[in-house]
Amino acid sequence: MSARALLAVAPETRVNPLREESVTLKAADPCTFVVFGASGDLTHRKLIPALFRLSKQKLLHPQTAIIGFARREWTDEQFREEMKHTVENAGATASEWDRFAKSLFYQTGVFEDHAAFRALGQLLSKVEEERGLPGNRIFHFATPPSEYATLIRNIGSAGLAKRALREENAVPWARVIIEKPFGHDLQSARELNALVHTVFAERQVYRIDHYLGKETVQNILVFRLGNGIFEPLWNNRYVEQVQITVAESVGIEGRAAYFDSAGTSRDIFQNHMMQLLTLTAMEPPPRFDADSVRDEKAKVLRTLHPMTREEVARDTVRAQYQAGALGGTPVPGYCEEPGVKLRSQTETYMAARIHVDNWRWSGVPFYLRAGKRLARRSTEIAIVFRQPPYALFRSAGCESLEANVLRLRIQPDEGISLSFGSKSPGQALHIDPVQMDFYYLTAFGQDPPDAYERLLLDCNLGDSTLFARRDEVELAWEFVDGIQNAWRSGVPPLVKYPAGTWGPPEADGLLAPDGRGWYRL
Amino acid sequence: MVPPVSLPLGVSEGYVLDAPGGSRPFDAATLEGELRSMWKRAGVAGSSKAPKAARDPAESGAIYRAALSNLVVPLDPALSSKLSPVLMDVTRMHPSRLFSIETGPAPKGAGLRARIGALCHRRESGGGLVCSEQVVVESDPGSAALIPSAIRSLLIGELPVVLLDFQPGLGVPWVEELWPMADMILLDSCLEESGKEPEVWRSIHREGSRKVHDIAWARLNPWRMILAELFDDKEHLEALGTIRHVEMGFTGQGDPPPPVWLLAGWLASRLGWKPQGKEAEGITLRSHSGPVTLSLQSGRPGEGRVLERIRIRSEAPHPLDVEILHQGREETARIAARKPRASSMEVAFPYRGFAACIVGEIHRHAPNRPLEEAARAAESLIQLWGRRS
Repeated sequence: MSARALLAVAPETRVNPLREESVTLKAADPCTFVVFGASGDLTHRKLIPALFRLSKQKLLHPQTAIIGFARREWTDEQFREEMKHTVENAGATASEWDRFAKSLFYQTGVFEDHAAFRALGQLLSKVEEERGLPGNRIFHFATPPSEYATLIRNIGSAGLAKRALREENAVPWARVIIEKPFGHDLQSARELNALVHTVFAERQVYRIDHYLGKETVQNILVFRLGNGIFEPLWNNRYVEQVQITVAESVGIEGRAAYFDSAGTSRDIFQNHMMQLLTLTAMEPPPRFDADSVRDEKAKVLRTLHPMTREEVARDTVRAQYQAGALGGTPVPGYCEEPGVKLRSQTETYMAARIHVDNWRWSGVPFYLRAGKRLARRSTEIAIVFRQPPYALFRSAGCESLEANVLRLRIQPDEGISLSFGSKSPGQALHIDPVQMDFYYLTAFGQDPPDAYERLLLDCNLGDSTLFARRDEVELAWEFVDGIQNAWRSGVPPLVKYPAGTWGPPEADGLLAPDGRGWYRL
Repeated sequence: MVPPVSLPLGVSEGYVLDAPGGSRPFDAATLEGELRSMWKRAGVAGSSKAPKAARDPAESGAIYRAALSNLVVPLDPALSSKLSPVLMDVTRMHPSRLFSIETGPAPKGAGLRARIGALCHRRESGGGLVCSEQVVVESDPGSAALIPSAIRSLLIGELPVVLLDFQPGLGVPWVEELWPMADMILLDSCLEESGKEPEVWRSIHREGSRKVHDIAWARLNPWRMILAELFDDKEHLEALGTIRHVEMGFTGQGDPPPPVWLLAGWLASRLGWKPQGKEAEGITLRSHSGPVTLSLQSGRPGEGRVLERIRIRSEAPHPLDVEILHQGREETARIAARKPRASSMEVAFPYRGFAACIVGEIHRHAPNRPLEEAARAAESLIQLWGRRS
């Protein structure tokens, strides 16, 4: 071939011409999932069922292996037996279980034990060789956050991730999935990030907030930016207020040791609620890729108005549930829960009025509330629109109309509804609010898949769009730290609310000066 | 009273929800009324107040009616039995108001008749059934011309109309009359007689690839994905410019099936190869760096004519000799390389059944330029192949 011909070919072949727009689907890489905390609740309830369903849908590479690591002295067979029930609950037939079971392996060990990590390394090599795996590894920390630092150090010292080059597209690769909360304040998050980066590059780190894996949360961006009619209204000219609620009916579910040191501000507010807030308030990214989306989310966090001590006193409420009744059943108060300190000052509810200081949202309050043992489980974002500029129907006795409210229902009853005023049938002019409703179930005929399925697959595919980046986590902590600092000095005081209600009256008092109230869920 | 939920089908946990009354002369208003009352009855039967015997086998209570589109499916008797389980699966993945149009079963002079029912599936998370309405329209040959107007009167106005036109041979007048009312038309060149495949592709060129889809293209997705990934590798990427031989193997005898032509057309269009002529070894094409030979080989007996192998060879300065092999419905394909060095590996092959291919295409709402270009190139290749044979 002539040099000229070579030159003519080379520029064209630098971009793969077979990678056209319709071949965007990527096949999962063959890899080994290593689950630390394999005997724990998260592994049973979420991780193994999600991996099974991915495997059943053929979305994982058939050679994929899963190694559980935990303190319990189990063999591979015992680990499989333990997981059998959970996989059967996920709808496995006998033959599907038999096939999936062959991909499960187990290593006994305590997280502080270097020898156990060396043994894990040997098991990894053996499994990879037997199953023809190239050495790609995902380490998933399904453990209490207090174990993260130890795990990182021992993965590093045992060389379990050393083969993974830190450059982009390195093969074989290693990735680490770290559950929220990532740190317990800004300082600890920074220290943990620094430690993680001694073993993994940022692109190898997948900080999981399972809310981001929910279809309904992903749909926030699709709804806003994939439809021509909503984004033009998505600003302070048309939006009067935004309410974000994460309400749980459950209590602390045996997690007293963790929750009593975390509280709702660290357990829900710093992560789930900040993610919902950023997705609602962010600017359209220039591209739909991991860094572009996360850049815009980080910008929102940078524009959050940092609260002074006086503002924390005025604009936040912290509360703790006391004994009450939920769904007709008496339930104990927080301090009566097993493992909780008798005079614990940990908040199980918090509400806040937040301002996003930018051009789009100036003057629009974001009211956020989250709590446990509330009347029922419901997570939603309510976008409340301004009234029409002129009350045309005042003369007909329709003085104040209900605001149009767009509700993005994250869970349960996943869907979207829009309320608007309509003339009631009859001779007189009465305007009543009515609903336009979209339900995932009756539109698509299926319930959205579990968030972990999406997130575990994305990690395998190397797509970190739905995972929190270092700066997002630290910026969220920076904002929450400001609130925590004031709370530590007793401002505002911790108040109580009966279990089974919608929170303390003080939360209503947060909106009352603005002439508003919480929307009923 | 006839229990509204009955008859477990045993197909992907599907159930047929039968409306009482059976087939009757077509009347749109009556049918709409029956559909409404069917859901009222289903609601009662599905509620906990219903008698135990009338409850659905999923033991849950709730019955949800779901619809994302109007699905219009002409079914001749030969196609009906083959497609019924596929349609059950399609409605599971993409609930719709399904119009099954059966020509032939009604006795001559019976006119246009219809019956309603529903295809239901268990909710994966438990808690009831999700159902797609089904309107079965039966016509004797003399009344077929009335079918389009009958369908038009029962379409759900705010939902898109998807026509699954899988009957071999395009150009049936009453089916052609359905085309303008459809937002999307799914054809399958694999179901056409050998030599007639280009008619499907001409429909795509005529109506646009946003509207007309070929399921054969959807079947190629795993192949295109694996090939794209293979050449994502920087070392292999350079070899794309020096490909000299492409060999494709398919099961069965006779002419290559449409996916073979489309994959060859796709490679030719993506890599800028121009068809030149034929030689004993195969079809010759010209790339900007030299000649390329395309060899198509039938062989191993199999379940129909199915693409199962592609071998690509490049010459220096970027030598490559690599073969991808996939058999049947296996979930993996084997990639064996001889150059630049010998290696072998298994890769995921996300095989999808007919129903999944249909639903995948229904979700595609954009023009499909790669298919348009591949189909044009494929047609040229078929012409050369014809001259050879």
